[in-house]
Amino acid sequence: MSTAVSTAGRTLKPRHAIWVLLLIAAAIVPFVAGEFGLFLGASILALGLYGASFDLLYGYTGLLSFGHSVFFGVGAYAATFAINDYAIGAITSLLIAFIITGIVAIGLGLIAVRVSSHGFVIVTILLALIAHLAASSLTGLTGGTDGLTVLVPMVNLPVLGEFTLFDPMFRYYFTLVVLVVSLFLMYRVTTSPVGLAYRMIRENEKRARLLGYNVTLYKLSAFMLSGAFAGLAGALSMYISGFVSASEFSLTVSGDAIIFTLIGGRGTLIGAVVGAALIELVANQVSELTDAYPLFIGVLLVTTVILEPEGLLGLLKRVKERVLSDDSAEQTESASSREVPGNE
Amino acid sequence: MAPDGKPNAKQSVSNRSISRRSALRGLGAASLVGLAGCTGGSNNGDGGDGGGASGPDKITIGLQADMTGVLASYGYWHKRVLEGYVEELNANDGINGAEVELVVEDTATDSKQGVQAMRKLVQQEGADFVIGSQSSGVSIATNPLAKQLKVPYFPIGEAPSITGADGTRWTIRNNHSTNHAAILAVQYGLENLGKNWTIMYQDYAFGQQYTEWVKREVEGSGTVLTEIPVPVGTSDLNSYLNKVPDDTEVLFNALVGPSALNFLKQSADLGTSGARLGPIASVEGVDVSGLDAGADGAAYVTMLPRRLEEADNEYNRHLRDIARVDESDQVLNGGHYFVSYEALSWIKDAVTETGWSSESDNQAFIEWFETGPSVEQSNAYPQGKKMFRGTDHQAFMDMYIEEISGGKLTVAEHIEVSEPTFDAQSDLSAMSF
Amino acid sequence: MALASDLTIALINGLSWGITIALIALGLNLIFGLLEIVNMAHGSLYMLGAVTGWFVVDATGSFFLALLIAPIAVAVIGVVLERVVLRPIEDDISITLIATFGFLLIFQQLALLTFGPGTRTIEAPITATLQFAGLSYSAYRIVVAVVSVLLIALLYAFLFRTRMGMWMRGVRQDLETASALGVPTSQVYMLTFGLGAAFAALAGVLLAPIVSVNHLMGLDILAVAFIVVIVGGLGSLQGVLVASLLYAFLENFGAVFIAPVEARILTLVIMIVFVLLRPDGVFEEGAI
Repeated sequence: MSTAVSTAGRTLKPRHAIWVLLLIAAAIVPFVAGEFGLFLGASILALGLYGASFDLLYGYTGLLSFGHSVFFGVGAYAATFAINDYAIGAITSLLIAFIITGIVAIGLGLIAVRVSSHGFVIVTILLALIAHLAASSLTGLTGGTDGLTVLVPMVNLPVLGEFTLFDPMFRYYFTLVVLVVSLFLMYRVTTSPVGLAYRMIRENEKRARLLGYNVTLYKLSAFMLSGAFAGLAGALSMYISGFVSASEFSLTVSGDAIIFTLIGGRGTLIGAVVGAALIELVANQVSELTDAYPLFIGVLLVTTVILEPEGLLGLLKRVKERVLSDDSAEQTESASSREVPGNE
Repeated sequence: MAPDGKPNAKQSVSNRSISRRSALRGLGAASLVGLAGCTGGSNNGDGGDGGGASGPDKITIGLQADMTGVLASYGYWHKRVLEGYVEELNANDGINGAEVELVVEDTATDSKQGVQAMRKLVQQEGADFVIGSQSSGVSIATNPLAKQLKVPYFPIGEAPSITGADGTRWTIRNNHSTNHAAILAVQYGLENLGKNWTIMYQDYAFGQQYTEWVKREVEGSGTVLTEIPVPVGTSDLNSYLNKVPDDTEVLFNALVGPSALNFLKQSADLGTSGARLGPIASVEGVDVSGLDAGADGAAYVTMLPRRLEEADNEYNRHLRDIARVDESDQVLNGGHYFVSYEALSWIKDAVTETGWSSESDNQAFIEWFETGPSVEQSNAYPQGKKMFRGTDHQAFMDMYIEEISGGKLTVAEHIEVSEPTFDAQSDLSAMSF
Repeated sequence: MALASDLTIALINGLSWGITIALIALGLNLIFGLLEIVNMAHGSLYMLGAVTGWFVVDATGSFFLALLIAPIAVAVIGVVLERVVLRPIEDDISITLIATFGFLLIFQQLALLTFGPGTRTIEAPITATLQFAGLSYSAYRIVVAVVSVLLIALLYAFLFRTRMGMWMRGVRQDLETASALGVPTSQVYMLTFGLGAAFAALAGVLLAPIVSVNHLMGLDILAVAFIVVIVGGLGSLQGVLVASLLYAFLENFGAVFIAPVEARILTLVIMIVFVLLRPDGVFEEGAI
């Protein structure tokens, strides 16, 4: 995919600390969490991947899509059909979900990237509505809102042997590995020249065009990659719950991706994972106390965008700069300027 | 896809030195190794703490409640009636001397969220029995999990497949199945309303299931002229109502949410042909007092009349006291709210009959339902007499037809049911635990 | 029913429903045209209007009082929202979109806590049915359509005949010049948002007798409003009118000939095609 990779992907720098810390934290969760915590943990990791896939599109190219749930749903169903109708193995089905969703994303991208940035938001809303309607209605194929139960086959790993996803411990680590590998691949994309072009499009689309970049093609590629990883997340999420339904396509699922990314910090990839963890854990705790927890999420979202538009990671960065103040921290990938291309 | 794991799976993470050349990849492998180290033959989790070995001093009842989302009105009442019932039980020696604890988790009327709620109820709150969601989607998604967690599960969703193709040994449904309601509604309609039917339904699982069973039941004795699917979330029904043939005698409608109310108003406005008949779910949680005369005559198949006057007996009064119906300003989901209450009554009876004391008695608990127990109307079963069919763990009960008249729901007919209305679609009792 | 009468009903229905959709979407587009805010909470403002209307009718029994109080109450909410929350972040489209999405969640949940989970109805002030040529149609729906036309005409008169309306258009066309000429831009922004919110609430009260009141009612309408705004052209009021009628006609006539869900999906697909062919709306760059 990438050719000339900057050194960022190859050596550990102080700014990778958060990645490493999070990974260590994620790896030791199972030793402190109970059985439900393990399940919740795996769910969060899959949702984190979903959020990060959205961030790849929005955080890096500035394209705000409200139709991300379409990819989540397509991926979940692609893997479901692969397993239920063709008896394909677990890991191959994940790859199939990844590829099919990527292809679907190219098709939808051809429609979506043609319009202006505001139009883009609304066209993606339309796409999600169509997908949700169709999936709810075609119960023979999708199971509709009642959904389908999926018996995920055993996972065959070279050397290590066979594992079942019913095993909470394996389920958790399996999800973690898929997430880490996906994040690594996405990260490599963002630090490559392609990622640089994405950011240029976000900061100033006109200038990118003047410099001879084929903006539409870059947007399309971002849409495709983002879609493929969202499809992977959808399939993974289906593995965890053993269940898929037309609700995967609903606008709320699209909203979740936006919430995770914004709360964690856009243009960072890892931020969306942190955001997913924070929101899910908070929702899980607050839901014990009150039924009004969506209110809580709404308030959290509003206060975040007003007080700290760069999310949790932006806040951390500011704190760090305060503390260090000698400005040894180098430029991070996070969007430090709040410039988003206006509608020319 | 996965990076290469180290051949020696017993190695611990700390022994690995992290190579600086590719930190992320190294860590990925490390976690895989760690994983291999700690999944040594652990099998499916068995949920709950069971309250210790020496007979239960506490029985925990989980409620998978639809507190938010489309079915929020159901969640509101199921939670309310169970809170009252648990309080009453604990004031009277609990269940077999064991204190009853109620734990509630929200499903947001969403299957994924519902499955998560089930896990939390069992694995974190230690629920011994779980009373399920009103959503068929949530019920179906939870069934296999209940089996996996080995917890008796009482889903309230009404899709036929819940005790059919999607059922497990651990599924016990004391609520009616869609086909039970459809069959009785059709019998009533054919006898009282006419032979030419048109079906208008919300185009998703709920509406499609009613359509399937109504069609099956009408054919032979009458004709289904046409079926009109209405997309979910449709507010304006005029264009669909215009498709209703003029010679329709019975207009069966399985609609929910805004579509259901608009159906009542707009069919009256347009003078649409056919007597209106449908499941109570269409107007459950809906205030019908604001409807004008155009809604009069619309009939619904239900389990229990919404207003006390229509089934005024001591049991119904007691139920309403427990649910504190008079203290709430919310519209009563009269046809459904007692189902969670009676589920707890069934749990109480089964625990008492089998001498249940911990999760190791769960099999006996389930097998008791497979003997086909039946009960008479009482404070514990205020809706009326019931019987279980052991084969598919499905309960059967009397039904009512209620009609709207003058902004009130009034009983048009009480349908006595003395035997199962349909054949079992699955033999759950032959399945493995 | 015969095809001729089917088509007649589809025509009347498309007309009355289209006008009503336009009433909701106009407020959304007014806000967008001037403030460049994609207001995700617009459907919730419509819902709040209906819910407030129900409370007023419940307390006073007067539908007309509801028609007066609900828009004012919701306009106040809108003004506060614009002033306190959106003003500091107005320069970033995606951030405002997400903030209003947050308010969608907040309003919906507040309605659930106060109004409750059930569905309630408001009795229509007019319950007659009109009979003509063997067809019958609800008189109240005709009234709603007529009132909507009047309200839309009033909005136009306001924009083109009053000083405030001139300011609104001026600020939209050239902010700097307008400021230099002493136009109170801050008030103009506030008023625009308030007006858009009031229109949504008005539509909520007007439609309550037809569609009933529920805390989730804003969701379905939001999607429709978005569709007609994008097809009509962002910021273009005539465009919204045309697109609303187009949408309603497509759906009504489509349902005469093909399965309803297919008609709905086809409508959405045609709308997408429109957006692709005319990305700037039916009237290209339609000035107000």
